[in-house]
Amino acid sequence: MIVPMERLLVAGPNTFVNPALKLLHDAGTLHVTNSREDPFLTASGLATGMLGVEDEELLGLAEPLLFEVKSALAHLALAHPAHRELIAIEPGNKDWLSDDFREHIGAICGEVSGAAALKRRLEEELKHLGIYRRMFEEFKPLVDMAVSMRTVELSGFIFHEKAPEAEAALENALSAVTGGGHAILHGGSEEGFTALLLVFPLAMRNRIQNEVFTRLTGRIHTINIPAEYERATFADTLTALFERETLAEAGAEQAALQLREYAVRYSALLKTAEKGLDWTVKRLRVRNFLARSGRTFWISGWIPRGSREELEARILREFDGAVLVLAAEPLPDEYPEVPVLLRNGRWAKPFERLLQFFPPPVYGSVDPTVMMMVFFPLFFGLILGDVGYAFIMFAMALFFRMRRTGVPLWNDITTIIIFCAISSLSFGILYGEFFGKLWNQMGMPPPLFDRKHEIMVTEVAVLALGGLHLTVGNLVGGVTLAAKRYYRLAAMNFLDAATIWGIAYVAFLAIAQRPLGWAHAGFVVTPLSLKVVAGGLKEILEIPKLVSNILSYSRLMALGLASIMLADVADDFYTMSGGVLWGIAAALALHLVNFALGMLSPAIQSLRLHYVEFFNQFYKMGNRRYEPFRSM
Amino acid sequence: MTEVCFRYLGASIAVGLGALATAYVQGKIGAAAVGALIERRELTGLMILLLAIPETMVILGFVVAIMILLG
Repeated sequence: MIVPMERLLVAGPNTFVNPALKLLHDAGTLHVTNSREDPFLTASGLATGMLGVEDEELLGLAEPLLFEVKSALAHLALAHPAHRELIAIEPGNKDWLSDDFREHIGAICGEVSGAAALKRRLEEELKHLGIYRRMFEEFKPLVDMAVSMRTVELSGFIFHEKAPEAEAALENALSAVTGGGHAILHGGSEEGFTALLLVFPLAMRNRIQNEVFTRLTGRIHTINIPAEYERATFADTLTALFERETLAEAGAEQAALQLREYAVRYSALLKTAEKGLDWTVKRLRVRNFLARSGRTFWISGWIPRGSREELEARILREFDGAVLVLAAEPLPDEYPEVPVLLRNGRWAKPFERLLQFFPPPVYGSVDPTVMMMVFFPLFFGLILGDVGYAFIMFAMALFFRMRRTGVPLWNDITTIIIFCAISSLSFGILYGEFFGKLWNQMGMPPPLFDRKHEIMVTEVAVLALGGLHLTVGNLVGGVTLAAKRYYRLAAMNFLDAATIWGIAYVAFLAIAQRPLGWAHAGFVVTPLSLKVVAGGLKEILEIPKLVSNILSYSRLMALGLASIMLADVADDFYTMSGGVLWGIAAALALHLVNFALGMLSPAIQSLRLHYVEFFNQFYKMGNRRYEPFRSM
Repeated sequence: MTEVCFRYLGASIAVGLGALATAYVQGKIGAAAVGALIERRELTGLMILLLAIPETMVILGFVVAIMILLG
């Protein structure tokens, strides 16, 4: 549900502004709004913002430092994930912007960022060195031998594979000088480039330099080895490359170790600093939101109904009546400004995560979370519908729940996975599917129907479910509109639902090959005519949209069919191989691919059916999220 | 024989053209999505959904093909 909100105005003498802000911050229930956007405060002629020059300077110091701390913590979390969930020590009333503290924290952040930058740079260098090594390493024994012979010279080139004429030009120019006394050897290829090694007599080095390389400059395009690795001879260059790779590898490992050490040493301190700086920044920003007269301050905001009494009592206790609290219910005109907070029960709450891709619903409309809790797993299970895969999902959910105990995001994700697993298990039993056709091979018939062979039955079932889903959307939309006294729009929603079921009834008669007469057309024409009367001729154009909305639910059948077909192919690998090891491996690999697709595709398609088809019937979005003034 | 041939031809056109159109549109959306994601990583979820929207074409084509084949 969308939590009812109350507008709150807190006012008091200027001397109490800081204690009042501290109290509001500790209470953590007030969503503070900018007084410049408050019609009452702007109409009253009060000045807005209480950010003095000194405060602005402090904000200028705090914001970059907070950014540095967050960035350092991000590096440390990557280096040592175990420290990611470390809890900050309560920051207390420390001066987070004192010179000493800023210097100390700044130095730590500098050390962390420096180590992270070094590690990143060395890893990048290693990547490039690896490419050169893979291209030239097969020449290494030859290069070593040539160096010991002291009679031949070597030169290495890298060409783009799409320019074979460059190699031909080089070959021709070399032949003209050496009369065939040279060799061009091909090395490794990497990312569209190939390595060549030229071998020619040492005595011809100067001639080749002058008559081949100089003349070919500009005619053949080569990729140069970076200048920092270039040495007098190619052999030395290769040696330098390989040595540098070893050094860079050791350097990157050292930097990674250093970061891990920093994580152990500094994570708790930085998390505490982050919390303290966050409070400092928030307090300063909120001061900018306040309104003031010569002697009073005014704070406006929104608070969930039910939290106001406690806050009022706390303010009264703390300031003994010197700070006033005024509360009012929002008027319908104010609904677009009200921040939205969703509150759902234990099982439905995780499904609020699925709404985070969208702005929250408009205040006073409907929270679709409970409906998503019902339909999202239902659609997911309808598509995946396999007992074996459902067990893997249960195992996966349990694994993540145990590994990430107490992390809200993972708790929510695993709850959603468990719901989807229950649904997949139920449909798996109904379809008679256990890792594809293993159920069937155990000699058991599908209890409901075999969706692989009874495609039309599955199609009709998913379309009926789609009709039901859209009807729920229409009814919710209709009731909401009626409650707001938009009776005509509400009637349109109800008529949409009637049209859907009219179409469904006629389609059912046609599929069942029952006799169809003109009278049956009335089931579709009547609600449609009423829609035309209420909304005009353009409503006729809504029919294709309505039909395509219902047909869109065919994806539940189509993806389910693809899933079972892939699972069957995986089982066939095993059967065809006669049970040998490669057959088992191939079957397992394909089941794994199918399972990975089965986790992703049904989730995306189920969400899509909600966001596009379902929400279109009633969901109005656009309000701000409720973000109370409190610590992170 | 001819009728069967035309059925298969019709079904393959229904799925094939739908798949081509979906692929074309997904390519366009994907390219735009990558650009948007460089600016705003938080749009990842929404972009995945936008990529799924054109799939309606191939799914409807698939339904039509099934109806032709089982018709």
